Amino acid sequence: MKKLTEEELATYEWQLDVPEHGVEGQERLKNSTVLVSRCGGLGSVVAYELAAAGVGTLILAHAGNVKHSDLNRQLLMTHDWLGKPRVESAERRLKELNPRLNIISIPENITENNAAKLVGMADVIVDAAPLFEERFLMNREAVKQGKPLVDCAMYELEAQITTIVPGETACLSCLYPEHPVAWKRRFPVFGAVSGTIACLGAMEAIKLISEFGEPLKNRLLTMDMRTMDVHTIQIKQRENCVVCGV
Amino acid sequence: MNIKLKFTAQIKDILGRNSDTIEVENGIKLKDLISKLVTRYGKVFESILFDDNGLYRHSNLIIVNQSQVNYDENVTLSDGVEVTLMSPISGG
Repeated sequence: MKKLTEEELATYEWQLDVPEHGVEGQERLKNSTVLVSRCGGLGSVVAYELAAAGVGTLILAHAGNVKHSDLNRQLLMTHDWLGKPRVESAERRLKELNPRLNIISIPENITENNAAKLVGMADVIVDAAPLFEERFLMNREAVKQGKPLVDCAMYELEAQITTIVPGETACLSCLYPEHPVAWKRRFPVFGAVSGTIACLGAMEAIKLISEFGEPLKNRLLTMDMRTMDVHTIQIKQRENCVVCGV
Repeated sequence: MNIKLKFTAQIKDILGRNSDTIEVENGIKLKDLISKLVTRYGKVFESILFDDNGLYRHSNLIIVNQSQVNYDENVTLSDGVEVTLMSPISGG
């Protein structure tokens, strides 16, 4: 395991004082790889927080070029990068923050062709994709390969998050056993909503890697930022789940 | 007895409200409550919760007082409980 350099010890000084984290936890972050798909409203902020926290390697999977309509929430995308690849914009911004960060940029969304490989390269997966097809693929591969997956979601001023640990918790297909019929690709949202739940997603990933705290295992945290109601709902594995097969 | 209702995401959008209260008979079962809600809220609401064959779409989560329950468990509900219907959300 690679040790922290003097520069890293100085950079992470404040979080090294977090009980149960310390130098050992920070070294685990440095030696970890996290897959973030995609780098949109959720994934941008997840990646930014993980880069700031000192995760060693980020795999960023996101197809397409930066559009005007990305800029209200996709905080790694900038106006001067309009029309250029999103992953390049993300990589550039993350490197400004943390030049030590190793980034593997994949200019693709998660598909049947790349899901197994990309999940296999990561220690932790943060699911920040807009389509349930991508989410179900990441969930299936995470369960198959025994990798923890943090699932972040949002709609309007609502947001939710849970952490899936194969063999211990409900998986995404336990939660949603059928393809959701009402979900639409375009939906109302503010960047502050995606950013809020993304910070929680980054914190879950940090806890999983550093091995402290209590991740949201079998718990679905829900937020309604219209009323600022926050709840933690007990969820459960589904009998005969086609993915985790409980 | 009264049951508090909460709705999220697309279900909330369809109903144009995020909460309601319904008066029902004592000891009502979950499936009977859902039937009453379909009668109260109409066809579009029904199409979100049930497929063309009348089978419940299990991706709509049912939460009773902060715990997920499955539609087929058909739990008995007591006075004052809060039932939340959550349609699935994703992200991006």
